[in-house]
Amino acid sequence: MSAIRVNLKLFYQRKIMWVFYVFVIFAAAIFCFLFSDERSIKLGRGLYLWPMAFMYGIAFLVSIVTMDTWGKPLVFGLPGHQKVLFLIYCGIGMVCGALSLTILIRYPASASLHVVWFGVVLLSLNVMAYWLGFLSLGSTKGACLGFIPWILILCYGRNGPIAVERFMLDPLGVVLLTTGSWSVTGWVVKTLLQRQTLREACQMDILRHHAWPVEHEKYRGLRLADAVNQWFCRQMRRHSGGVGCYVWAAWYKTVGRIILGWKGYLLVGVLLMVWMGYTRSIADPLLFIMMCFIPSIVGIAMLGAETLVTAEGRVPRFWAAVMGGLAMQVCTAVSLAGIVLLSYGLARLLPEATIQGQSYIFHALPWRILVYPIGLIPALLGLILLLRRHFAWLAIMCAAVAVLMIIPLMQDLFPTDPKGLTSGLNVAAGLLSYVVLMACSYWHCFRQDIV
Amino acid sequence: MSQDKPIVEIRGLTKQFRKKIAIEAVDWDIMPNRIVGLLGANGAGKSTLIRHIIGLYLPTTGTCTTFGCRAEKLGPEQMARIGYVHQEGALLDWMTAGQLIRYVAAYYPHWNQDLEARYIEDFDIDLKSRVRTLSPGQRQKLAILLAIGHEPDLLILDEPASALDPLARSQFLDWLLQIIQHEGRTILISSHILSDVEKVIDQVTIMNRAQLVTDCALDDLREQYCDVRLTSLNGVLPEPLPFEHVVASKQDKGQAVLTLKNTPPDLIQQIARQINCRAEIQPLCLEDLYKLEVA
Repeated sequence: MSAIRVNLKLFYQRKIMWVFYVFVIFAAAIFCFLFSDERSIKLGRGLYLWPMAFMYGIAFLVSIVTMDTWGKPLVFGLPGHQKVLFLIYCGIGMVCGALSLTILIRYPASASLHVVWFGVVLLSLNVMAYWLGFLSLGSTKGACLGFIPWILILCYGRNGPIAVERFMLDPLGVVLLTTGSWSVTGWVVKTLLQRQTLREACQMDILRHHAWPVEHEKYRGLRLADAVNQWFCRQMRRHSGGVGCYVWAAWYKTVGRIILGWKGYLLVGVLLMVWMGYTRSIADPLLFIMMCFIPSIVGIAMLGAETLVTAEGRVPRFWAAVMGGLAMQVCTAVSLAGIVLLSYGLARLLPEATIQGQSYIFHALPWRILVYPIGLIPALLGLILLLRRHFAWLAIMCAAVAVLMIIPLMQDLFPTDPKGLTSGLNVAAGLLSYVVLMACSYWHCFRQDIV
Repeated sequence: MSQDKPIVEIRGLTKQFRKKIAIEAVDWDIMPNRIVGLLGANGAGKSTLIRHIIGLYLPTTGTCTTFGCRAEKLGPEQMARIGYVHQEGALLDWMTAGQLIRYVAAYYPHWNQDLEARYIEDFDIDLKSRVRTLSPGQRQKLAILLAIGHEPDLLILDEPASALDPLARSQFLDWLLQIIQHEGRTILISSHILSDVEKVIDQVTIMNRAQLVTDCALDDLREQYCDVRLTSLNGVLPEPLPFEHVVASKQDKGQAVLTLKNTPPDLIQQIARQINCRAEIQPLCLEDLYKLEVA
């Protein structure tokens, strides 16, 4: 096996790659939006920032995700290891850069100088993000810091992206960015990519796993998790021998896991709500679609895709998959409904914020965000269940679903009040989504090998 | 359960994954109350065959019937009679060991709490540890407990000891001997650590390149082959030696070691006397038997 194949094999097997796939899907959706935006890309509108953020984000994620892969002894033992690293990074950078530059083909009216500068900026950001990712030495928490500048930029609403875009496409900005990123590159290549540093990163990862967090993780939320486990197991025993037992088991596998991470979900939900309430930007619906993708991916383990064999034939497995999908849908819808209700309360309490002379008022969130879990989650779960071993097809299908959701969003087809949620279109979409889940579950449970 | 009716009947089973044939035209019966060793090299098709028995895989052609029901249509009633230890120890990692035991137990109306308590103590399982933090050996012990807790009629162990260290493997085999002695049930063990399974099995099934090459009682297989050490009583042994069915031989002037198939001990001694030499007959270990059958 060649060095590049071994590297890619290790890289591809990482579970965290799912985050990367989701990111790529949404980046693709953003590009679709930019291509269809009638305002066209012109300097000073903040739209250049999206491809820039894409190039930065993708490189940053790749470097974090691959960090411990590069640190593996197997990889070290291979000839031409550093060359492979560069080949993979350059390959990803070139593909993403080419994708980003297609925006300028779509909008040929852009100044020709911008085309050159834009390309240079994209490449510099890409390179910089790789090495910043490396500097975090594989620490996820440390790596999150790398996204803070972008979050801060977006927190300034439309002004932030416009200002950054102007700076980066200004000759001074281009020179500063290029010099900075390539200087860091030189230093990183000389020092950070040495075996010692990578081994250190790997050891840090091991330490993180085996010292503090194991004990911490061992008993974290044990009492709550135990109580939930006992309650669901009681329900399972009450329906022992019947399909009900398997349905309760599916619900437990869905809810139990979510409860384990409830603090994280709550924090993300509240942060999103505050941001959306103040900014009401175009990214809002995308974020909420993303919130449907994540539980769908998490939920796949619950839908009969697991290999723990219990007293479960294929028929119970099918019903468990369908009911698990329903549970995931209901959980997400209830959580989002809670966020919307909370936003109604906060709309009366949160003050008006003034940043750089511009005032922002917190608005309650529209009820239409509930459309996403209702319409998306069952179909997504079904598709993921069916295509979970075929990543390329899965990514294409998910991207198609995301794009299909974005088009009606752009056209403002979704209702903004609770009454509108029960309109014929939404109910039909929900039913269709469920039909997709049932068809996929049927195929998975009765026509495919399990395990 | 009828003693003369097989609990697993496989007829003409073929499984193909795209272009690769994993199992080819296998016919096999598993009789009740037997300890069957399913042996074979990596990739021989052992796990694929096992997964057909419990209905996880769908056959390309042929049928597999378990407890009188087509394996792909096994319902909770039949599945409750099967215990399965997966070679990769697939468990729900986000639960604690205690939660997982409680969760699996809830599926079975006749879960044996006493047995559970005993194995928790014997296996030294920390109930408060998350499954994902357990060592491979601990995970395997937990998987075994989960498979045995409902006292299944058919216990399937797919490479059960592969993740265990030598000490734990020895403990595991002691425990296996214990459950074989005390509880009459059918056990199917798939393994390529032949020295381990040799102590416990009474039927041996060997797979090689997707096909079943041997299926018989271990004692019958042992009787088929033997090693014979010949020592000449007056000088050099004749060449060639007048034995039929020689599977392997090594000869050095006055001494020779032969592996013979289907040759009775009386006949061996008679021929030895004819060529004026002493014959010592020794049975073969499972590893040697396996090599001969596969060869």
